Amino acid sequence: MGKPQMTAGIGLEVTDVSEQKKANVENVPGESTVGELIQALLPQMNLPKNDGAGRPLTYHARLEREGRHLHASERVSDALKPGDRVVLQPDIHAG
Amino acid sequence: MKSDYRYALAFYKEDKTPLGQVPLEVDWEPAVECARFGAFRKDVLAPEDGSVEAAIEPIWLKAPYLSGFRVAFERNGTTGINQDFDTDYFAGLAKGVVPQLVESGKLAENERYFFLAVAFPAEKDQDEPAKLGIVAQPVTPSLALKSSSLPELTREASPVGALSDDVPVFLPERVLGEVEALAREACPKETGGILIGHLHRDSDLPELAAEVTAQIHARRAEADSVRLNFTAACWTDVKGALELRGQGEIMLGWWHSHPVREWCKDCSNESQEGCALARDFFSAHDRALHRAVFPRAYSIALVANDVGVGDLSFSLFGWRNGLIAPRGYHLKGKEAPNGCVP
Repeated sequence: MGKPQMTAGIGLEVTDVSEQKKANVENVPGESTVGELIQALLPQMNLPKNDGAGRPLTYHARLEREGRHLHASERVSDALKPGDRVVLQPDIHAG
Repeated sequence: MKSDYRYALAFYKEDKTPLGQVPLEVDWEPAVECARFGAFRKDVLAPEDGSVEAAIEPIWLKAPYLSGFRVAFERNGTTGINQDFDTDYFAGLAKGVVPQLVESGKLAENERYFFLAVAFPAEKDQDEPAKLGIVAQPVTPSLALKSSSLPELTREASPVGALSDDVPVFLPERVLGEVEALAREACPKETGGILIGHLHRDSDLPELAAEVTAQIHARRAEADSVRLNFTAACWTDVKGALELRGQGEIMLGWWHSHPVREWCKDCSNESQEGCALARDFFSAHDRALHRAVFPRAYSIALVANDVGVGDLSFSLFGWRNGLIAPRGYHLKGKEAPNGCVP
């Protein structure tokens, strides 16, 4: 087995759950994971990383084309196609 | 957003003994959003100008001390669209620092303190490089506005609580009835949902308003008596419901219940009546959720206070000057219910 092949980056449209925050993302490396993509997007979309107690929030990426939540370990090149629309959904609690 | 300064808080004991400075990582987004939406309301900035860059500028008391800060928008090389904020904006951050001061022995438990905000010129190019080289270019979402007459909307509604200068919010009695029934049914657990509706513009005034048309119960939220977890499945359900309704509604906010009668079941009636949890209580977790999911200046949060003594009441919260505060609303369809006294 050789080195993993580098794939060309893809472009995506990403929104938050309210769809009031949107961003176009270019050149997402195909070899990156969905979890890495989410972590890269949070600060750029001004989405909080922590909950009310300072613990890290979990965000899920929902792929609109397939109507499913992507697993954090999935590779971008395996799961996403150019132009896909992804919604970042937090698991977050009220008190 | 652009900021040429780094900010910190200088803490003092009540007798003015200095306790040291703590650098701040300020979340400017609520302030910027407030200023931007304020400009939309006055019709000096159009929704399509949503991507106009904001600059954060210190307002000096005497450098490096601040009396506040300014959010300014630059458009076509001209400035003049701006809003000033006082240092109350930093109070929540200050509160978060106090445990460190207590732990380090600088401040005793419950000892009074005060703080001053300070700012210093920042070194250039402090931005972290984007992870994996991924760069997100923000896109200004279209703000769907219905053209309406605010006096007409108001004529059919009753004011509840202090209305101040907040963007007018209209809540139908039917929705409050549904929330009340769901809250009572769920007790001793919390429950909640999403408030959906429309934004209106009265261009004669000019003014914007938010009208709630329905609530979507978060059936797949995980709950116990002190916690309500909105899972990813909840957000998917809401999106599905919005699409199914097909009325162009947007998420205006959220609601959840506080089963106070469960929380306070071992307390006397007298202490329950004066309990701070019984009305207008919005926890740190509630604030974090509102910030994470509902950062828009028009976003609201309704709390159903299911108390053991007296009737269930409602408290409404929203953004004011970049901070979350209790607020009033206009009740449609019936006379004002018990509750919501900001």
